[in-house]
This record gives sequence, structure tokens and C-alpha cells, in this order.
Amino acid sequence: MTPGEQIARALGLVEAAERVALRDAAEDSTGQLMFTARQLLDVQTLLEEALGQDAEPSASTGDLQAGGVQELLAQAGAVLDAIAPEDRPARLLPARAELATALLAFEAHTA
Amino acid sequence: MSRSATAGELLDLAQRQAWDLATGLSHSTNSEAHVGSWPQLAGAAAHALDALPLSPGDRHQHWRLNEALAGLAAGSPGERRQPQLERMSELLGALGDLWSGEHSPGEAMADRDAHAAQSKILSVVETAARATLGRLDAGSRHGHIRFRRHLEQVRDSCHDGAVVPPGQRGGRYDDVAAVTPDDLSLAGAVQRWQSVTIEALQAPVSARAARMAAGDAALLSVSSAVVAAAAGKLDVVPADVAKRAGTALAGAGRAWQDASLAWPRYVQGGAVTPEQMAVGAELRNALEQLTRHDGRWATPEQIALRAEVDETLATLRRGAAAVERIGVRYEASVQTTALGEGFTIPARRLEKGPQGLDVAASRIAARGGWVPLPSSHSEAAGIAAAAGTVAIPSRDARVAFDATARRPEFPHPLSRMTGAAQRKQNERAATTGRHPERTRDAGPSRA
Repeated sequence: MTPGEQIARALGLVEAAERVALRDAAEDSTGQLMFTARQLLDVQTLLEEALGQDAEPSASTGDLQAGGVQELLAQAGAVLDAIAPEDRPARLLPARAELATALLAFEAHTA
Repeated sequence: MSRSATAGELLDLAQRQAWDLATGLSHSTNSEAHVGSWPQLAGAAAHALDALPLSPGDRHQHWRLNEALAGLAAGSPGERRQPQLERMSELLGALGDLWSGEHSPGEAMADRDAHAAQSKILSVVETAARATLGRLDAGSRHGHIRFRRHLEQVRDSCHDGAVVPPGQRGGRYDDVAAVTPDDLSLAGAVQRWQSVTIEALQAPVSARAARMAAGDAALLSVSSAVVAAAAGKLDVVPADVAKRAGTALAGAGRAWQDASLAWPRYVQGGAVTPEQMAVGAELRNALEQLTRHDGRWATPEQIALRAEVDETLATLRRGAAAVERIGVRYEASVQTTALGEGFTIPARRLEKGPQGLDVAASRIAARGGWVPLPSSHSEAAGIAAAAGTVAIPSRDARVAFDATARRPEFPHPLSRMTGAAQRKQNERAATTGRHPERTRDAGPSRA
């Protein structure tokens, strides 16, 4: 996969996580999933900025069934981490940080 | 023989430190080490940016960033430092020294290179700010208020500077989102969010901007429902009025969430402006500060300790009015954009006619290209229909929430006070000797 394809793949995973969070938010009495879903929109925007073009996140159609929010976000992180340092666009840095903070917030508040 | 590192190598190293900081965030458990590292990092970042040979105009556009960095640099360095942040400080400091040492910086570095270097520094600093804010958010949200505010300003200014081309920065955003570290009010956050979101929802609207607006409106509605319920429990408003408001607000929140979910995954179109991201983050943070506690909704008592419930209700009622207006704008803009073929989809997702895709579309599809979403496409109709589902629940929520501002003896036509609440109101008036007609938040006259 090219770095662009890897970012698009991560975008698909984050987008899937956001939809899982939104879908499950109605049953979530803590309200955390709604806040997480909103933060994941920011992550997607930052990933798109890093990509510099429209991407088709539906490259990962099966992701909605693939796991929970935490697993999907961890996978997205792993996909981005697999991009060689010299191939990372500068704008991928804030996206990676925002993904990490979203995962951290989700883990901290659902522990 | 060893040689000195070039600026490019130092920048690469700083970027790698930023990456390691992000990926190691869950293992970096000490928030105080993050906080204690920022005075040095902010000073080094300001030094590096200042040493770049930028035009006075470009430099001026960083005034908000400079202000926030100066605020952070003025803090006390902590005894413990976060290792990556400390290393980034050293690297940015070295970059500043290197560029300051150039005798003719304008000749040594072309404008384009200076902007590229600036963009990389801004990305590094933005990453550090996001990581520290994330680290702080994972702990208690109720400390380091001024520090957080400076850091949010650094994050937003860096983002703005890194993604918006020079010459197009500043202007409207400075007017709308130029928050000072002292401006901590929820009212300010709601006001700025409304102003920027209304602007962002001008047709043709971007799909991402629309979803972001929907997410924000959902958060504001549901958080308002929590505060309304708290106000009922705390006897700030009659319990039945609070309950009706809470139910309607929660319903509006759900409608916005459903509208966001209704967007097909592959429909795109346009981007999100940095100012919309900034005001959304500010609103989310203000709502979290008010309504969240350890990953759960705060109790009524906790909310009452953080804010004057009466005043907060007034602010959130204005928020509900904003959501209502945004609901109307959202419906109109999304439908106009869908019918005007302003969204895009991958060409391969075009609906095939009896003869399949036409030749041009087939070629674009083969290249993995994108095309406008035809207004006749079933997804365009679906998007337009889903956009029409938020305005009415938002209006109902605003109407029900407005009832919490009315005097109980003149209830809104939609609300009827229970006998118990009426008795409570009468008892309160008798105790205080104050007739409800003379209370400050007067409702409509019966005359």
C-alpha cells in the first residue's frame, strides 16, 4: 500500500469507529460515546488534510462489523504507524496525536 | 569527521519526536511532566518561528500564536519534564539558533522554503499541543484552566497557519475566534460556535462541515438536556417543565445524531475550515467542563458547584435557539447542495443505467476518480430527506426549553404545571414575600 492508501485505510477505520460510537450512543447512559464520536470527526478532518484530497473511506466496508470503537481506533493507529517516517506528510503528525488522544479519552472514561 | 546537523535534519528529528509523543501518549501518564515542559517548548518554538525569514505580513499573522506561546513561556518550568517535549524544545531551539545565525536570511532561504519550514514547525507544535491537551483530558478536566486556554490557542493557531495559505489567514476568524485566555464562558463558546457554523453552512455546504455541525448540535442539545434535568432536581425550575425540556432536548440530540449517521460513507464534498474545527472544540470543551465528571454525566450537585444553574440555563436556551436556526440552515443548505450536485462520490458508485456507465464515467471510475453526485442518484435523495429531520425536533426542543424561563403561574401553552409544582411555587412566594410577577425573568403579560 502507498502512504496515501494507508492514510485512506486509517480514515476508513476512524470513520467506522465514529459510526459505531454514534450508533451505540443512544444506549450509552454515560454520554461518552457521543463525545468520542464528535472527536473522531476532528480526527477524520485532520487525516483528510494530511492526505490532501478526498478519500473513500468505504474501502473498509466490513469495518462496521469488525469490532468496537477501541479496536477500530487501535487498528487505525497501527496502520498509520506502519508508514515509514520519511513518507509521513507533516500534516499527519497532528492527526496521529488527535487519534491517540481520542483513544486515550475513550479508554480513560470507559475503564 | 563529524559535521553539523542541517536545519532539515533537525526538523526531521523534531517531527519524529512529535510522532513518538503521539504514539506513546497512553504510556505517558504524568500530566504534570507535560505541563512542566511547555515553558521551555513554547520559548523554543517562538524562537524558531521568529528566526524564520518571513515577510512582516506573514509574521503579523502569527500574533495570536505568539501571544499564546508567550503566555506558556511565562509559566514555571516543572521539575519533571516529558522526554519528547523536552527533546523537541532542544531541537526547535537549535533551529532558531541556526536560522538566527544566517547573515542574510532572506537570501539563504527562499520564501517557499521558509513557508515549508514554518508549516513543519507549526505541525510539530500543534501535535505537541494536541498531545498535552489529550493527556490533561484523560485526567481531571478541572485544573490548569489558563494553561489549557493558551494551549488551545496554540493548537488552533498552528492548525490555521499550517493549512490555510499565507495571505488568506486572518480576517473573519480573528474577529470570531480570537478568544483571550480570560474568556472562559460557555456563553462565548456558544456564540462563536453559532456564528461560525451558520457561516459554514452556506450552500454549497461541505459534507464534512455539515456532519461536524450535526455532531456539535447533538452535543449541545444532549448536554442541555442534562442541565435541564439538573435544574429540575435542584428546584431551579419546576420538575415537570424541566422534564419536558429534557425530553425534547434529548430528542433533538438524537435527531442530529441520526442525521449524521444518515450520510453515506463515501459521499464527500469540500473541507472543514480551521475556524469551524476550533469553535467546535471550544464548545465541546466548555460542555465537558460543565456536564462531565469521570467519563459520566455530572450530578446536579456537581453542576451547581461549577456554575450558576439559572444563568447557565439562560445561556443554553440561547444555545437551543442557535441549534434551531442551524437546523433550518442545515436543511436548506444540504438539500440545495444535494439538488445542485455539489457533493461528490467515487465514479464507480454511480448508478448504472441499462447500458451501464457512460464512457466518460467509466474512464473516471477506472482511474478511481470522483464525480459530482447526480441529483437523480438515490443517495442524493436520501441525503436531502435526512437533512429535513432535524429542524422540527430542534424547534420543539427550543420551545420546551424556553418554558424554563417563564414564571410558573404563566406556563407556556405547551406546558401545564402540576398541582405539586404549583403548590411549591406558591409556598416559595409566600416564604420570600416576593410576588412571582416581580421576578427578573418575566414572562409574557396576561393583559
